[in-house]
Amino acid sequence: MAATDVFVAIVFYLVAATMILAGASMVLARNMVRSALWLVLTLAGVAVMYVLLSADFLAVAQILVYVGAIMILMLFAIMLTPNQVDLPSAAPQAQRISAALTALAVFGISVFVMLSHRWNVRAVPLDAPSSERLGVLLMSTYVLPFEIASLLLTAGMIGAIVIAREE
Amino acid sequence: MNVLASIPPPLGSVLILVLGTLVILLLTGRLSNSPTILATIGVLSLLGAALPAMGGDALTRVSVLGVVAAGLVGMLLVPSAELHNSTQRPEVAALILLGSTGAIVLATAGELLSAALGLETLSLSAAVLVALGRGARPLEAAFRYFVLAAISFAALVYGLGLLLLATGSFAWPRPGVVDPTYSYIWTIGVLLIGLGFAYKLAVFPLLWGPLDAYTAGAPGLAGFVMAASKIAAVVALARLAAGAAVPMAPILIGIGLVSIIWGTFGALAQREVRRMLAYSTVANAGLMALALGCGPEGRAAAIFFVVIYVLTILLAFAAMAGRGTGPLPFGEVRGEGLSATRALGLTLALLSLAGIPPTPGFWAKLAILDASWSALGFWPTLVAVIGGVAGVLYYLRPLPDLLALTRAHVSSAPAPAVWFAGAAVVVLGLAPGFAYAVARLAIGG
Repeated sequence: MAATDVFVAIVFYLVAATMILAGASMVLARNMVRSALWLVLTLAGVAVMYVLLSADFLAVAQILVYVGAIMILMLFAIMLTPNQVDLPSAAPQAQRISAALTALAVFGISVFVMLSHRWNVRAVPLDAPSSERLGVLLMSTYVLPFEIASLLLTAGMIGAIVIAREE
Repeated sequence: MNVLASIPPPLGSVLILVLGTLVILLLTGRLSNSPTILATIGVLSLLGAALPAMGGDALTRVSVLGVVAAGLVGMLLVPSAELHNSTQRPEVAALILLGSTGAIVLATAGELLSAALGLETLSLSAAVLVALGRGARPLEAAFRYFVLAAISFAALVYGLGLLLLATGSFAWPRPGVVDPTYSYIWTIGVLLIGLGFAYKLAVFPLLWGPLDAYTAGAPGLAGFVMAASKIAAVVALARLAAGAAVPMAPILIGIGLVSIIWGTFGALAQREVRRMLAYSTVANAGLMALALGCGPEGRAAAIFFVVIYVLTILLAFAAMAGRGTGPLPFGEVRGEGLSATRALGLTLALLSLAGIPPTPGFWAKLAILDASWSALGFWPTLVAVIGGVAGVLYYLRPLPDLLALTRAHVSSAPAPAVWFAGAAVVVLGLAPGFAYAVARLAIGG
């Protein structure tokens, strides 16, 4: 095994363990600000995973959009909502059970897919920027979904403005 | 000219609706004080969007015309919509056009990625339209609708990922194209995508968000949300079931039967018209889901049913529009001062929803029962029949008061939305065979 492979394997397992711990801490934390900060760590871990998969553009987008914009927005929302920083001591039993069952189902499906799929593994890691290929795909094969996404954003923007606007 | 001719019909409809949205958004300042001009621009955009669809196949025509009808009724009610802030009418009109765009994309998309984006555009527009209603409840209902829509969308996106993994593309599922090694991954993917579409249909157990939205929003806008969502969801589920009957049919039949039972009991327990209509929509969604699981004949029946149901429910909500977002208790219908036109419209809608002949609702229910009997036999059809009979009990409860109102001389503003939806229901009642033939063509039968 080459030294690079060993390094990649070490980073992968380290980051994976950190993500699992951060994810569990996010769910278990009673303080929403702490939950949000644990989520930052989980999402940053996803960005590292993208780097390990040579998906440079996705990694940067993950940092900018999720770790940056969305988490800042989430922290603002938590801090601007009065008396909502601390979560109630215990969620209703039915809610806990349904959440646990949903999480278990997603976990089960993911593990099943991971084990049953014949994954194509490259002999050598992809050593070229992926942004150009992504750009070409977005402007050719996926141009229609790309344009429809702009309509979705327009609807979201109108919604945000009209709901937040003072009379 | 050649470029215009090469645009696929549904895309032409979408482009015209987007153009209408842009015009309204650019003129927001001027149009906020001119609701009639605003509604005219919206209506012209919707009528214009219907034209390119005429060149498409039967499925495109049914989908686009159904969504356009929902949009037209919603747009005609914009000037009188009960909004929290009345200066926001241009934004409401723009959201109706965007929501219609999303519904058309969901129903007619060539691949699932676009369909998913169409669904989310519709969901987002619907949530905001509900939120803009007058009073405190609409905002809370819209938030719940939005959160549950986001959860079902997450399931849909997960399903899309699994389908991509199994087939290597975002194409609509087709039988026999998947590698047997990946059939389980494909099946799970298809079911999750179906779950995402089923939220728009409001079947059990994906009904809490839509139920709140239908009862809390301004009636005209809630009617649009309900109608556009249902027609797009039925067409999308029909396309999904056509290509993936093995995992979808038993699930659709199961949730259809549970929804009929749940919706019927829920509607029977209600004491006011809007909540009764909202709960009964679950029972009707159950009938559609049941039919969708009954093969090609069932899918044709479901499309026939949804077209009639959508026009009828639009008539009911149009008749109730303009009187506020609050409840309409059964015992107080007479005191609401509905005009004779509105009372007549609501009467016709309730008779059709109850399936009383010769209203189109009768033919719609008959088509579903026929498909269910042919494909599933006695017991599932019996459940559907009992649901239909119970429907007569709850739909006809406000009828004596409404009939009294039709004889009263209560003056009111003109109600073009009621006339339009009422005329559509009457036409369908006169020519149900034509509508059923179009529905059969739409599913390729």
